[in-house]
Amino acid sequence: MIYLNNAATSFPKPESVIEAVNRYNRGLPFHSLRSGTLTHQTDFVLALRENLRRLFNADSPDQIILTSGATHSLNLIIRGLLLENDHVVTTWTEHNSVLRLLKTLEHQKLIRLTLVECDEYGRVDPENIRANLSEKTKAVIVNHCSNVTGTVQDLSQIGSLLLSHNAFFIVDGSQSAGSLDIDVKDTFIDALAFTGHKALFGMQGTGGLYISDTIVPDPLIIGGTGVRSDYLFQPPGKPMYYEAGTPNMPGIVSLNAGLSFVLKEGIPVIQAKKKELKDIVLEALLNTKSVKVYGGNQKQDFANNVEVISFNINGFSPEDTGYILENSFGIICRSGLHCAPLIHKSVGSYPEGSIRISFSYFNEKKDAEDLITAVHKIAGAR
Amino acid sequence: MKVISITNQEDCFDGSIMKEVVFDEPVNRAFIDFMGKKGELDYFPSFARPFFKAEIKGHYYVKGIENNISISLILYKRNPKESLNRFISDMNEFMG
Repeated sequence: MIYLNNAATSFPKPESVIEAVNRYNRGLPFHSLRSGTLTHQTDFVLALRENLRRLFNADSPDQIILTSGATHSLNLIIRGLLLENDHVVTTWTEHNSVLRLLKTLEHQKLIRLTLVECDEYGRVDPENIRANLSEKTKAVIVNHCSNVTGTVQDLSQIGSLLLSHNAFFIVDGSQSAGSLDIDVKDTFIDALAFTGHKALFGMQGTGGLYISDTIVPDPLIIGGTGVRSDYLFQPPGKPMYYEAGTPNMPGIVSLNAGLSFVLKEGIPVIQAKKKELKDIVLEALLNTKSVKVYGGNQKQDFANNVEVISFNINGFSPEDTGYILENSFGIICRSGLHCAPLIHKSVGSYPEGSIRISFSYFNEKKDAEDLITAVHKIAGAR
Repeated sequence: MKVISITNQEDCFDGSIMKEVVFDEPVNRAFIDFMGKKGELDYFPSFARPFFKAEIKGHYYVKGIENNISISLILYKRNPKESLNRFISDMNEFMG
Protein backbone atom coordinates (compact mmCIF):
# COMPACT_ATOMS: atom_id res chain seq x y z
CA MET A 1 0.00 0.00 0.00
CA ILE A 2 1.28 3.47 -0.92
CA TYR A 3 -0.01 6.36 1.16
CA LEU A 4 -0.32 9.68 -0.71
CA ASN A 5 -2.90 11.42 1.45
CA ASN A 6 -0.51 13.33 3.69
CA ALA A 7 -2.35 16.62 3.18
CA ALA A 8 -5.17 15.02 5.19
CA THR A 9 -3.05 13.29 7.84
CA SER A 10 0.59 12.31 7.54
CA PHE A 11 1.49 8.61 7.62
CA PRO A 12 3.67 7.03 8.81
CA LYS A 13 4.79 9.01 11.81
CA PRO A 14 8.47 9.05 12.71
CA GLU A 15 9.41 6.14 15.00
CA SER A 16 10.34 8.69 17.68
CA VAL A 17 6.69 9.86 17.80
CA ILE A 18 5.35 6.36 18.32
CA GLU A 19 7.98 5.63 20.97
CA ALA A 20 7.32 8.89 22.84
CA VAL A 21 3.56 8.28 22.94
CA ASN A 22 4.02 4.66 24.03
CA ARG A 23 6.44 5.72 26.76
CA TYR A 24 4.06 8.41 27.95
CA ASN A 25 1.05 6.11 28.03
CA ARG A 26 2.93 3.51 30.08
CA GLY A 27 3.84 6.04 32.79
CA LEU A 28 1.84 7.87 35.43
CA PRO A 29 -0.26 10.73 34.00
CA PHE A 30 1.53 14.06 33.83
CA HIS A 31 -0.28 17.24 34.85
CA SER A 32 1.41 20.38 33.70
CA LEU A 33 1.00 23.19 36.26
CA ARG A 34 -1.28 20.99 38.34
CA SER A 35 -0.43 19.22 41.57
CA GLY A 36 0.50 15.62 40.99
CA THR A 37 3.39 13.34 40.34
CA LEU A 38 6.62 13.35 38.43
CA THR A 39 7.68 16.95 38.84
CA HIS A 40 11.13 15.85 37.79
CA GLN A 41 9.81 14.66 34.45
CA THR A 42 10.16 16.76 31.28
CA ASP A 43 7.31 19.23 31.03
CA PHE A 44 6.13 18.27 27.56
CA VAL A 45 3.81 21.26 27.38
CA LEU A 46 6.59 23.76 27.97
CA ALA A 47 8.92 21.85 25.65
CA LEU A 48 6.33 21.87 22.85
CA ARG A 49 5.55 25.55 23.30
CA GLU A 50 9.24 26.39 23.09
CA ASN A 51 9.71 24.25 19.98
CA LEU A 52 6.73 25.93 18.32
CA ARG A 53 8.06 29.36 19.29
CA ARG A 54 11.29 28.39 17.56
CA LEU A 55 9.48 27.04 14.48
CA PHE A 56 7.53 30.26 13.93
CA ASN A 57 10.13 32.68 15.34
CA ALA A 58 7.67 33.98 17.92
CA ASP A 59 8.89 36.19 20.76
CA SER A 60 7.70 34.01 23.59
CA PRO A 61 6.43 30.45 24.12
CA ASP A 62 3.47 32.01 25.94
CA GLN A 63 2.23 33.27 22.58
CA ILE A 64 1.55 29.67 21.56
CA ILE A 65 -1.87 28.30 22.53
CA LEU A 66 -2.34 24.54 22.28
CA THR A 67 -5.64 23.41 20.77
CA SER A 68 -7.28 20.34 19.25
CA GLY A 69 -6.37 21.45 15.74
CA ALA A 70 -6.62 24.23 13.18
CA THR A 71 -10.43 24.36 13.20
CA HIS A 72 -10.42 24.86 16.96
CA SER A 73 -7.71 27.52 16.61
CA LEU A 74 -9.59 29.38 13.88
CA ASN A 75 -12.82 29.32 15.89
CA LEU A 76 -10.91 30.62 18.89
CA ILE A 77 -9.37 33.55 17.10
CA ILE A 78 -12.32 34.46 14.85
CA ARG A 79 -15.04 34.13 17.48
CA GLY A 80 -12.76 35.52 20.19
CA LEU A 81 -12.17 38.76 18.31
CA LEU A 82 -15.87 39.57 18.61
CA LEU A 83 -16.14 40.84 15.06
CA GLU A 84 -19.76 42.07 15.45
CA ASN A 85 -20.59 44.75 12.90
CA ASP A 86 -17.11 44.49 11.45
CA HIS A 87 -15.97 43.75 7.96
CA VAL A 88 -13.87 40.64 7.31
CA VAL A 89 -11.91 39.83 4.16
CA THR A 90 -10.98 36.29 3.23
CA THR A 91 -10.20 34.36 0.04
CA TRP A 92 -11.55 31.69 -2.28
CA THR A 93 -8.67 29.41 -1.36
CA GLU A 94 -9.91 28.87 2.19
CA HIS A 95 -10.83 25.58 3.79
CA ASN A 96 -14.33 25.14 5.23
CA SER A 97 -12.79 25.63 8.69
CA VAL A 98 -12.74 29.32 7.77
CA LEU A 99 -15.49 29.55 5.13
CA ARG A 100 -18.25 27.86 7.10
CA LEU A 101 -17.48 29.84 10.24
CA LEU A 102 -17.42 33.18 8.42
CA LYS A 103 -20.50 32.40 6.33
CA THR A 104 -22.32 31.46 9.54
CA LEU A 105 -21.34 34.75 11.18
CA GLU A 106 -22.42 36.57 8.02
CA HIS A 107 -25.74 34.68 7.96
CA GLN A 108 -26.30 35.70 11.59
CA LYS A 109 -25.72 39.29 10.43
CA LEU A 110 -22.81 39.64 12.83
CA ILE A 111 -20.21 40.48 10.18
CA ARG A 112 -19.95 41.76 6.65
CA LEU A 113 -17.88 39.38 4.56
CA THR A 114 -15.85 39.88 1.39
CA LEU A 115 -14.49 36.84 -0.43
CA VAL A 116 -11.53 37.68 -2.67
CA GLU A 117 -11.23 35.39 -5.68
CA CYS A 118 -8.06 33.62 -6.70
CA ASP A 119 -6.91 33.03 -10.27
CA GLU A 120 -6.69 29.76 -12.22
CA TYR A 121 -3.37 29.03 -10.48
CA GLY A 122 -4.95 29.40 -7.04
CA ARG A 123 -3.09 32.66 -6.44
CA VAL A 124 -4.65 35.58 -4.60
CA ASP A 125 -3.48 38.95 -5.82
CA PRO A 126 -2.63 41.03 -2.71
CA GLU A 127 -3.85 44.10 -4.60
CA ASN A 128 -7.33 42.55 -4.67
CA ILE A 129 -7.17 42.28 -0.89
CA ARG A 130 -6.04 45.89 -0.63
CA ALA A 131 -8.88 47.00 -2.92
CA ASN A 132 -11.43 45.48 -0.56
CA LEU A 133 -10.12 46.99 2.67
CA SER A 134 -12.07 49.71 4.41
CA GLU A 135 -12.00 51.43 7.77
CA LYS A 136 -14.50 48.83 8.96
CA THR A 137 -12.22 45.89 8.07
CA LYS A 138 -11.25 44.21 11.33
CA ALA A 139 -9.60 41.05 10.02
CA VAL A 140 -8.04 39.60 6.88
CA ILE A 141 -7.92 35.82 6.91
CA VAL A 142 -5.68 34.03 4.42
CA ASN A 143 -4.90 30.38 3.80
CA HIS A 144 -1.11 30.23 3.49
CA CYS A 145 -1.12 27.14 1.33
CA SER A 146 -4.01 25.58 -0.58
CA ASN A 147 -4.87 22.01 0.34
CA VAL A 148 -6.20 21.57 -3.21
CA THR A 149 -3.47 22.91 -5.49
CA GLY A 150 -0.56 23.44 -3.11
CA THR A 151 -0.45 27.12 -4.12
CA VAL A 152 1.39 29.29 -1.59
CA GLN A 153 0.22 32.86 -0.94
CA ASP A 154 2.71 35.67 -0.41
CA LEU A 155 2.24 36.34 3.32
CA SER A 156 4.92 39.03 3.46
CA GLN A 157 3.25 41.10 0.81
CA ILE A 158 -0.22 40.73 2.31
CA GLY A 159 1.09 41.33 5.84
CA SER A 160 2.94 44.49 4.86
CA LEU A 161 0.00 46.02 3.03
CA LEU A 162 -2.06 45.56 6.22
CA LEU A 163 0.45 47.54 8.28
CA SER A 164 -1.22 50.79 7.30
CA HIS A 165 -4.68 49.44 8.17
CA ASN A 166 -6.29 48.42 11.44
CA ALA A 167 -7.14 44.92 10.23
CA PHE A 168 -5.68 41.91 12.01
CA PHE A 169 -3.78 39.46 9.81
CA ILE A 170 -4.92 35.91 10.54
CA VAL A 171 -3.26 33.04 8.70
CA ASP A 172 -4.36 29.43 8.31
CA GLY A 173 -1.10 27.48 8.25
CA SER A 174 -2.63 24.00 8.25
CA GLN A 175 -0.82 22.85 5.12
CA SER A 176 2.35 24.86 5.58
CA ALA A 177 3.36 24.43 9.23
CA GLY A 178 6.26 21.99 9.10
CA SER A 179 6.41 22.15 5.31
CA LEU A 180 7.50 25.75 4.78
CA ASP A 181 9.40 28.24 6.89
CA ILE A 182 6.96 30.64 8.54
CA ASP A 183 8.30 33.68 10.35
CA VAL A 184 5.43 35.43 12.11
CA LYS A 185 7.46 38.62 12.54
CA ASP A 186 8.74 38.93 8.96
CA THR A 187 5.22 38.37 7.64
CA PHE A 188 3.45 40.62 10.19
CA ILE A 189 1.08 37.85 11.25
CA ASP A 190 -1.21 38.62 14.21
CA ALA A 191 -2.53 35.08 14.56
CA LEU A 192 -1.42 31.82 12.98
CA ALA A 193 -3.58 28.70 13.22
CA PHE A 194 -1.97 25.34 12.58
CA THR A 195 -2.65 21.65 12.94
CA GLY A 196 -0.37 18.99 14.38
CA HIS A 197 -1.30 15.88 12.42
CA LYS A 198 -0.04 16.85 8.97
CA ALA A 199 3.55 17.97 8.28
CA LEU A 200 4.36 18.31 11.99
CA PHE A 201 3.84 14.54 12.43
CA GLY A 202 1.73 14.71 15.60
CA MET A 203 -1.37 12.67 16.29
CA GLN A 204 -4.83 13.71 15.15
CA GLY A 205 -6.48 16.09 17.62
CA THR A 206 -3.42 18.30 18.06
CA GLY A 207 -2.65 21.80 16.89
CA GLY A 208 -2.30 25.33 18.07
CA LEU A 209 -2.55 29.04 17.59
CA TYR A 210 0.11 31.70 17.69
CA ILE A 211 -1.29 35.01 18.98
CA SER A 212 0.84 38.13 18.86
CA ASP A 213 0.82 40.55 21.78
CA THR A 214 -1.15 43.04 19.68
CA ILE A 215 -4.26 40.91 19.85
CA VAL A 216 -6.34 39.80 22.85
CA PRO A 217 -9.27 37.62 21.81
CA ASP A 218 -11.82 36.33 24.30
CA PRO A 219 -11.39 32.66 25.22
CA LEU A 220 -13.49 30.09 23.37
CA ILE A 221 -13.88 27.79 26.38
CA ILE A 222 -13.70 28.58 30.08
CA GLY A 223 -12.89 26.27 32.98
CA GLY A 224 -10.12 24.73 35.04
CA THR A 225 -6.53 25.66 34.29
CA GLY A 226 -4.61 24.24 37.25
CA VAL A 227 -3.63 27.70 38.48
CA ARG A 228 -5.42 30.25 40.75
CA SER A 229 -8.14 27.73 41.58
CA ASP A 230 -9.61 30.12 44.20
CA TYR A 231 -10.41 32.67 41.46
CA LEU A 232 -13.92 32.24 40.02
CA PHE A 233 -13.18 33.68 36.61
CA GLN A 234 -10.83 32.60 33.83
CA PRO A 235 -7.32 33.66 34.95
CA PRO A 236 -6.03 36.20 32.45
CA GLY A 237 -2.71 35.89 30.68
CA LYS A 238 -1.51 33.77 27.82
CA PRO A 239 -1.50 30.87 27.32
CA MET A 240 -3.70 29.65 30.22
CA TYR A 241 -6.50 32.10 29.40
CA TYR A 242 -7.21 30.02 26.29
CA GLU A 243 -6.48 26.50 27.52
CA ALA A 244 -9.21 25.49 29.97
CA GLY A 245 -9.71 21.81 30.62
CA THR A 246 -7.43 18.79 30.77
CA PRO A 247 -4.87 18.99 28.01
CA ASN A 248 -4.51 16.24 25.43
CA MET A 249 -1.23 15.02 26.89
CA PRO A 250 -0.65 12.02 24.58
CA GLY A 251 -1.29 14.37 21.66
CA ILE A 252 1.04 17.01 23.07
CA VAL A 253 3.76 14.40 23.57
CA SER A 254 3.26 13.21 19.98
CA LEU A 255 3.36 16.71 18.55
CA ASN A 256 6.48 17.59 20.52
CA ALA A 257 8.21 14.45 19.22
CA GLY A 258 7.01 15.10 15.66
CA LEU A 259 8.11 18.72 15.72
CA SER A 260 11.46 17.75 17.25
CA PHE A 261 11.91 15.40 14.29
CA VAL A 262 11.11 18.22 11.84
CA LEU A 263 13.51 20.62 13.56
CA LYS A 264 16.26 18.00 13.65
CA GLU A 265 15.93 17.04 9.99
CA GLY A 266 15.37 20.67 8.94
CA ILE A 267 12.54 22.05 6.83
CA PRO A 268 14.81 22.71 3.78
CA VAL A 269 15.87 19.03 3.72
CA ILE A 270 12.30 17.81 4.16
CA GLN A 271 11.02 20.22 1.54
CA ALA A 272 13.72 19.26 -0.98
CA LYS A 273 12.76 15.60 -0.83
CA LYS A 274 9.06 16.30 -1.23
CA LYS A 275 9.74 18.73 -4.07
CA GLU A 276 11.70 16.06 -5.94
CA LEU A 277 8.71 13.70 -5.74
CA LYS A 278 6.28 16.48 -6.69
CA ASP A 279 8.39 17.36 -9.75
CA ILE A 280 8.58 13.75 -10.94
CA VAL A 281 4.81 13.36 -10.77
CA LEU A 282 4.05 16.79 -12.24
CA GLU A 283 6.34 16.18 -15.20
CA ALA A 284 4.55 12.93 -15.97
CA LEU A 285 1.00 14.15 -15.41
CA LEU A 286 1.43 17.36 -17.40
CA ASN A 287 2.65 15.26 -20.31
CA THR A 288 -0.19 12.76 -20.18
CA LYS A 289 -2.78 13.66 -22.79
CA SER A 290 -5.92 12.61 -20.96
CA VAL A 291 -4.90 14.03 -17.58
CA LYS A 292 -5.82 17.53 -16.45
CA VAL A 293 -3.70 19.00 -13.65
CA TYR A 294 -5.27 21.91 -11.76
CA GLY A 295 -3.44 25.08 -10.78
CA GLY A 296 -1.17 25.41 -13.80
CA ASN A 297 -0.33 24.29 -17.31
CA GLN A 298 3.42 23.85 -17.12
CA LYS A 299 5.89 22.74 -14.49
CA GLN A 300 7.12 26.22 -13.61
CA ASP A 301 3.56 27.24 -12.67
CA PHE A 302 3.94 24.93 -9.69
CA ALA A 303 7.50 25.88 -8.76
CA ASN A 304 6.56 27.58 -5.48
CA ASN A 305 3.79 25.16 -4.55
CA VAL A 306 4.04 22.60 -1.81
CA GLU A 307 3.77 18.88 -2.44
CA VAL A 308 0.04 18.76 -3.19
CA ILE A 309 -1.17 17.96 -6.72
CA SER A 310 -4.78 17.89 -7.92
CA PHE A 311 -5.77 16.29 -11.21
CA ASN A 312 -8.46 14.37 -13.05
CA ILE A 313 -8.37 11.66 -15.70
CA ASN A 314 -10.69 12.07 -18.70
CA GLY A 315 -13.60 9.66 -18.64
CA PHE A 316 -13.35 8.92 -14.93
CA SER A 317 -14.96 10.82 -12.09
CA PRO A 318 -12.54 11.80 -9.32
CA GLU A 319 -14.46 9.49 -7.01
CA ASP A 320 -13.95 6.51 -9.35
CA THR A 321 -10.29 7.38 -9.94
CA GLY A 322 -9.73 7.44 -6.18
CA TYR A 323 -11.54 4.14 -5.80
CA ILE A 324 -9.49 2.53 -8.58
CA LEU A 325 -6.18 3.89 -7.31
CA GLU A 326 -6.87 2.54 -3.85
CA ASN A 327 -8.54 -0.76 -4.64
CA SER A 328 -6.90 -1.74 -7.93
CA PHE A 329 -3.43 -0.29 -7.41
CA GLY A 330 -3.09 0.06 -3.64
CA ILE A 331 -2.48 3.81 -3.72
CA ILE A 332 -4.34 5.86 -1.12
CA CYS A 333 -5.16 9.42 -2.09
CA ARG A 334 -8.24 11.61 -1.77
CA SER A 335 -11.04 12.56 -4.15
CA GLY A 336 -13.68 15.30 -4.12
CA LEU A 337 -13.70 18.94 -3.08
CA HIS A 338 -11.31 18.46 -0.14
CA CYS A 339 -13.42 20.77 2.11
CA ALA A 340 -12.33 23.78 0.04
CA PRO A 341 -15.13 24.25 -2.52
CA LEU A 342 -14.47 27.76 -3.82
CA ILE A 343 -10.94 27.29 -5.20
CA HIS A 344 -12.28 24.53 -7.46
CA LYS A 345 -14.38 27.19 -9.23
CA SER A 346 -11.25 29.17 -10.06
CA VAL A 347 -9.05 26.28 -11.16
CA GLY A 348 -11.79 24.53 -13.16
CA SER A 349 -12.55 21.42 -11.14
CA TYR A 350 -15.97 22.40 -9.78
CA PRO A 351 -18.39 20.74 -8.96
CA GLU A 352 -16.96 17.22 -9.00
CA GLY A 353 -13.60 18.14 -7.53
CA SER A 354 -10.35 16.35 -8.16
CA ILE A 355 -8.02 13.56 -7.18
CA ARG A 356 -5.47 14.90 -4.77
CA ILE A 357 -2.10 13.37 -4.00
CA SER A 358 0.19 14.72 -1.31
CA PHE A 359 3.65 13.55 -0.36
CA SER A 360 5.39 13.12 2.96
CA TYR A 361 9.07 13.09 3.84
CA PHE A 362 8.69 9.32 4.16
CA ASN A 363 7.56 8.72 0.58
CA GLU A 364 10.13 7.38 -1.83
CA LYS A 365 10.79 7.84 -5.54
CA LYS A 366 9.24 4.44 -6.21
CA ASP A 367 5.93 5.65 -4.74
CA ALA A 368 5.88 8.48 -7.29
CA GLU A 369 6.80 6.09 -10.11
CA ASP A 370 4.11 3.57 -9.10
CA LEU A 371 1.54 6.38 -9.04
CA ILE A 372 2.54 7.45 -12.55
CA THR A 373 2.31 3.87 -13.82
CA ALA A 374 -1.17 3.52 -12.31
CA VAL A 375 -2.39 6.84 -13.73
CA HIS A 376 -1.06 5.91 -17.18
CA LYS A 377 -2.81 2.56 -16.96
CA ILE A 378 -6.13 4.20 -16.02
CA ALA A 379 -5.76 7.01 -18.56
CA GLY A 380 -5.01 4.51 -21.33
CA ALA A 381 -7.95 2.28 -20.52
CA ARG A 382 -10.63 4.26 -22.34
CA MET B 1 -22.71 -16.10 -4.65
CA LYS B 2 -25.09 -14.84 -1.97
CA VAL B 3 -25.56 -11.47 -0.30
CA ILE B 4 -24.49 -11.64 3.36
CA SER B 5 -25.20 -8.05 4.32
CA ILE B 6 -26.08 -4.60 2.95
CA THR B 7 -24.96 -1.77 5.24
CA ASN B 8 -25.08 2.02 4.98
CA GLN B 9 -21.72 3.56 4.06
CA GLU B 10 -22.41 7.20 3.24
CA ASP B 11 -25.18 9.68 2.46
CA CYS B 12 -23.70 11.55 -0.49
CA PHE B 13 -24.08 15.32 -0.87
CA ASP B 14 -25.98 14.87 -4.15
CA GLY B 15 -28.70 12.98 -2.27
CA SER B 16 -27.71 9.47 -3.33
CA ILE B 17 -27.01 6.76 -0.78
CA MET B 18 -23.93 4.54 -0.78
CA LYS B 19 -24.11 1.06 0.72
CA GLU B 20 -21.63 -1.76 1.07
CA VAL B 21 -22.82 -5.15 -0.16
CA VAL B 22 -20.92 -8.12 1.26
CA PHE B 23 -21.08 -11.51 -0.47
CA ASP B 24 -20.33 -15.02 0.81
CA GLU B 25 -17.66 -15.44 -1.86
CA PRO B 26 -15.50 -13.18 -4.03
CA VAL B 27 -17.11 -11.27 -6.90
CA ASN B 28 -16.59 -13.29 -10.06
CA ARG B 29 -16.69 -12.64 -13.77
CA ALA B 30 -20.17 -14.20 -14.07
CA PHE B 31 -21.56 -11.55 -11.71
CA ILE B 32 -19.85 -8.76 -13.63
CA ASP B 33 -21.20 -10.07 -16.94
CA PHE B 34 -24.68 -10.39 -15.44
CA MET B 35 -24.61 -6.76 -14.28
CA GLY B 36 -23.45 -5.83 -17.79
CA LYS B 37 -26.59 -7.43 -19.23
CA LYS B 38 -28.78 -5.53 -16.77
CA GLY B 39 -27.27 -2.16 -17.51
CA GLU B 40 -24.28 -0.28 -18.85
CA LEU B 41 -20.97 -1.87 -17.87
CA ASP B 42 -17.46 -0.45 -17.62
CA TYR B 43 -14.96 -3.23 -17.04
CA PHE B 44 -11.20 -2.80 -16.89
CA PRO B 45 -9.52 -6.20 -16.73
CA SER B 46 -6.09 -4.73 -17.46
CA PHE B 47 -5.86 -2.94 -14.09
CA ALA B 48 -3.69 -4.49 -11.38
CA ARG B 49 -6.93 -5.71 -9.85
CA PRO B 50 -9.82 -5.52 -12.37
CA PHE B 51 -12.35 -2.75 -11.72
CA PHE B 52 -15.96 -2.74 -12.84
CA LYS B 53 -18.86 -0.33 -12.68
CA ALA B 54 -22.35 -1.09 -13.87
CA GLU B 55 -25.19 1.39 -14.01
CA ILE B 56 -28.82 0.39 -14.03
CA LYS B 57 -30.22 3.68 -15.28
CA GLY B 58 -32.59 5.52 -12.99
CA HIS B 59 -32.06 3.09 -10.12
CA TYR B 60 -28.55 2.35 -8.99
CA TYR B 61 -24.99 1.56 -9.89
CA VAL B 62 -22.53 -0.88 -8.44
CA LYS B 63 -18.76 -0.70 -8.54
CA GLY B 64 -16.05 -2.89 -7.22
CA ILE B 65 -13.01 -5.02 -7.78
CA GLU B 66 -13.15 -8.51 -9.24
CA ASN B 67 -12.35 -11.10 -6.55
CA ASN B 68 -13.18 -8.75 -3.68
CA ILE B 69 -15.76 -9.96 -1.19
CA SER B 70 -17.74 -6.70 -1.26
CA ILE B 71 -18.92 -4.01 -3.68
CA SER B 72 -20.29 -0.47 -3.39
CA LEU B 73 -23.95 0.04 -4.23
CA ILE B 74 -25.07 3.60 -4.95
CA LEU B 75 -28.84 4.21 -4.90
CA TYR B 76 -30.05 7.28 -6.75
CA LYS B 77 -31.90 9.86 -4.71
CA ARG B 78 -35.17 9.67 -6.67
CA ASN B 79 -36.47 6.59 -4.87
CA PRO B 80 -33.78 4.78 -2.90
CA LYS B 81 -36.14 2.24 -1.38
CA GLU B 82 -37.47 1.18 -4.78
CA SER B 83 -33.91 1.11 -6.18
CA LEU B 84 -32.75 -1.12 -3.32
CA ASN B 85 -35.64 -3.49 -4.02
CA ARG B 86 -34.61 -3.50 -7.68
CA PHE B 87 -31.04 -4.42 -6.73
CA ILE B 88 -32.25 -7.23 -4.44
CA SER B 89 -34.51 -8.50 -7.19
CA ASP B 90 -31.60 -8.43 -9.67
CA MET B 91 -29.44 -10.33 -7.18
CA ASN B 92 -32.17 -12.95 -6.70
CA GLU B 93 -32.30 -13.38 -10.47
CA PHE B 94 -28.50 -13.77 -10.62
CA MET B 95 -28.49 -16.38 -7.86
CA GLY B 96 -31.26 -18.27 -9.63
